[in-house]
Amino acid sequence: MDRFRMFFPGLIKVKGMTLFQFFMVSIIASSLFLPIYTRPAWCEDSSSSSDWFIDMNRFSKSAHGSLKCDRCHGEMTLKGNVHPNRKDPTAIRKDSVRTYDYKRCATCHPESYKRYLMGEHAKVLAKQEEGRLAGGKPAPPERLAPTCGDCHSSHYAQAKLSRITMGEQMILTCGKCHVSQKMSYLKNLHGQLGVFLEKKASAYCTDCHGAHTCESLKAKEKALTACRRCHRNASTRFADIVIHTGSEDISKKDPKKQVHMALILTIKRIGQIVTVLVLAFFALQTFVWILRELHNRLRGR
Amino acid sequence: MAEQTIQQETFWRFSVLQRTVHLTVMFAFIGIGLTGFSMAFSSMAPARAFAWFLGGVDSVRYLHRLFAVVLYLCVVTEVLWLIYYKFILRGNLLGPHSICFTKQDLSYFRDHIGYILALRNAPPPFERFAWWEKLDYWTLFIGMQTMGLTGLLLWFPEFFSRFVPGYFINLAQVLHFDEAVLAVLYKFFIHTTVRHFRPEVYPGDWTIFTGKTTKEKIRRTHPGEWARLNASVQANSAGER
Repeated sequence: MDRFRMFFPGLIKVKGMTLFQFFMVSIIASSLFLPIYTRPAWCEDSSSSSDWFIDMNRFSKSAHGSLKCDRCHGEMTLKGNVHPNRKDPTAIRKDSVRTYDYKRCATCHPESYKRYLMGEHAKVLAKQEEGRLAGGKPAPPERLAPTCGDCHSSHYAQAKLSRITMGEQMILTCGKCHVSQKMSYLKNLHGQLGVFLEKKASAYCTDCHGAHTCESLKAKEKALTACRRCHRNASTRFADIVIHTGSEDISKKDPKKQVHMALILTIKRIGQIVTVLVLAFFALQTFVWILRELHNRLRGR
Repeated sequence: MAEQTIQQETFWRFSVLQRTVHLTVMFAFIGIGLTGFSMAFSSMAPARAFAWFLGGVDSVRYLHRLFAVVLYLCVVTEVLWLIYYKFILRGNLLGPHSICFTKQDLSYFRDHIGYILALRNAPPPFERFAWWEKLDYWTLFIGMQTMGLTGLLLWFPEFFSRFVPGYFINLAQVLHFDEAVLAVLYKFFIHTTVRHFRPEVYPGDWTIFTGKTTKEKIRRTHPGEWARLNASVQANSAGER
C-alpha cells in the first residue's frame, strides 16, 4: 500500500483523500465519462403508460405528442355502450388497456394492425375470448394475450429511436411475458452483440419473429427464412442452431431438438468438470511444489 | 570431475526462432484472451468498457480473429520447424533433446510428484525439457488445434453448417468458451507461477526471453542434460586427443 502511495504522493496529499477514496472517486468519475457503457443494458423506465394520469412533459416528447386527446379518446361505442360510461361507477376501476378499443390505432397504422391480426398474439387472444364466451374460466389478466397497448406505450413511446435503443426496449417489452426467452437470448451471440455490445447488425427480437406478426419459429422453413434475412448463404442445417437454449424454451413436441439440447448440456457439463478438475490438480500440485521448495530453502539445501 | 571439462558459464538454450515464437505467442495469447473474454462476459460493465476502449465490438472481433491467425501461424512455424528438425537436421524426435513426450517422462512425472510430496530427496534427472515444459508446449499446441476448429465453426457458421448439423455450432460455442477459460487460467496463473514464482526460480526466469542459461541452472534443473553434455564434450576431447 505504501509503495503504491509513493507513486501518487502529490495527488493523495493535495486532495486529502485516502487511497480507497481515490479509487472510489476515479470509479465514479469513469462511470460518468462512460455513461453508455457502464449503465445496465435496459434501465429504461418501464412503468405503465396507460395510467389514468398522463405526464404531459413526457407525452409532448412522444411520437403522439402532436395529437389532441380526442383524436384517440373521442366518444367510443363498444357493444352498444358509450365509453366513457358516466353512469357506470366501476368504469374508472377497469383496466384501461383491456377496455380501450384498439381498432382506432388502425386508422393511422393500418399495416401494423393487419399484421397484428394475422399474428400469434391476436390468435391466442381470439382463442381466449372464445373460451370466455363459451363459458369457460376466463384467463387471469396477466395471462391474457397482448393487444397494442400491452407492448406499445401510446402516450410515451418515442419516435425515431435508434435501432439499438429499440432493441433494448424489446428486451423489456417482450421479456415481460417471455422471461426465459429473454434470458436465453441475452446468453446467445445475437443478444450479447446486439444488446450489450451495441452492434447494429445483430438481430433483436422482432428481426427474427416479426414486429407485429410475432411468429413462432418452431417450423424449420419459417426459421430458415428468418435466418436468411441476414445469413444469406444459410443452408437448411443452419436453422438447426439452437438460439434459445433455456430448458423452458425447447418445445416438448420437438424430440429432435430435445436430444440436441440434452447433448449440448451434457457436453457443457463435462467441459466444466474437466476444466475445474484440471485446474484444481495443477493448482494443488503447484502449491505443494512451492511448499516443498520453500522447505528445501529453509533447510539450506 | 565432470563439470571442470566445460569452461563457459553461459549456454544458449533457445534459438532466435524459439524466442520469437514464444514472445509472439505470449502477446497474441494475452490479446486473444482479453478480446475474447470482453465479448463472452459482455453482460458485465468492465468487459463492455474494455470493448469500447478498443473501438467497439467490430474492432474487438477483428482483433480476436487477427490474434487467432497470428497464433495459428506460430503453430504452423512450429510444425515446419519439427519437419526441418526431423528431416534436415536428422534430429531424433524421441531423443533426450526433443520436446516430444517419451516413456521416460511418465517415470519422471511419478518421481517428481514423489519429490514434491517429500517421498524422494531429489527431483529426477530431467533431460533438456522437464515434463511440465513439455506439457506447456503440447497443451498449447493441441489446444490451438481444437480452439482453431471450434473458432472456425463460429467464424463461418454458414459454411460449416453445410457439412455438420446446426447444433454443432452450439457445441463449438460451449467448447470454445470452456477451453478458453481452461487455457487462460492455466497459462496466466499456473504457467506463470511454475516458471517465475517458484522459490527455485523466483523472481523470474528470463531464459525464454534472452535465450541464455547458466551452468548452475542446467545442473540444478536439468541434471540429465548436463550429464549428457559433459559426456559428449568428454567424448569429443577424447577424440581430439
